[in-house]
Amino acid sequence: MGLSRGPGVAGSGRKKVINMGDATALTLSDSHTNTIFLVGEAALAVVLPAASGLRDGWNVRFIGHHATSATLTNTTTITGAGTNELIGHTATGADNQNRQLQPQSAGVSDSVKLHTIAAQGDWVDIIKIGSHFFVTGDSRINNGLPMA
Amino acid sequence: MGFRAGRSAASNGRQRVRDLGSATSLTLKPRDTNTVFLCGAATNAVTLPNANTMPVGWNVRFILNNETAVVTITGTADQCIGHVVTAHDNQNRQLQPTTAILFDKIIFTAGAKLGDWVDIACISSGLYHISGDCRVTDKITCTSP
Repeated sequence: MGLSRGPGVAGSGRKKVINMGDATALTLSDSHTNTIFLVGEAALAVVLPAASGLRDGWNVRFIGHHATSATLTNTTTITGAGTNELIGHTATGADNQNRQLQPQSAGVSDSVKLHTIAAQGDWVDIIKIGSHFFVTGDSRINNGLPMA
Repeated sequence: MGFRAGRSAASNGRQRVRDLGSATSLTLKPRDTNTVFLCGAATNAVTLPNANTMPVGWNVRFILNNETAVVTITGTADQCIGHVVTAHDNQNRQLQPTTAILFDKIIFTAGAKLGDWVDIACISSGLYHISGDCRVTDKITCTSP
C-alpha cells in the first residue's frame, strides 16, 4: 500500500473545523493542531494536552457558535492538564465600554471559558509556546471569556 | 512543461503574502486560502464568495499597508459573524458591528491606519467568522446593508 500523496488540510492552507454540537467532553491531543472548534451548544469540558508533551506551535481556536437570544447557549470550559499552564489574556467589553481583561492581573491561569454570557462570534486562540499555552481572545460581552 | 517541485507555502508552515497594489477589484477564490493581502494603495472592491461555495477552513487576512484608499469587502447577505475591535489608545472599545448581528460587508474606510487588519475564515457551510483590530474608532466597519 502506497503512502497517501494528497496534501493534508494544513498543507492546503486551510484549517480543520469541528462543530462540537451536543458533545459534553473533549480531550485534545497533538493531532488537533490547526483546528477551529465551534462551541456553545452544550456545556462542554475541554482538557488540553500536557504542555510538556506538545511541540511548540501547536494551535487551536474556539469560536462561540451556537447562540440563544444572542448569547451562547452553554459554557465551554477549557482546562490545562496541569496547573498554571496558561499565560496571556482575553480582552472583553461591549461597544463603547472599557476593556475588561481576563485575568484582571497578569499571571498564570488554569482555565479559560467561553461563558454562556459571551456572544456568537467571540473567540479564543491557544498556542503552545515553551512550557506554557499562550491564550488570546476577544468577546463583545464584559468578562465573557473568563480566565482563572 | 513539468510540475513545480517546490513545497507550497502552507506545507512549509508559512502564509502567502500578496500586495494588491493598484488593483481595483479582487474576487476571492478557494485557492486564496492561507493568504495575507496587503491593501489600501488603491480603491479596491473585494468580492467574498458565497460561503456555501467555499471550503470549510478557508482563511485569509487583509492588512492595510497603505492609507491612500478605501477597501471594501462584500459578501453574500448575512454570512458573517464575529466582530472587529476599533478605537484609539486609551479609549473605550468601539465594536463593529456594535451588536452581535449577521453582516456581509467589511470596509477599511478612510482614516484606518497602517497595520489595521481583518481575518476571515469559513467555519461552516454558509458562514464566515470575522475578527480584526483597528487603532482608529470605527474606521473598519462591518455592516449589513
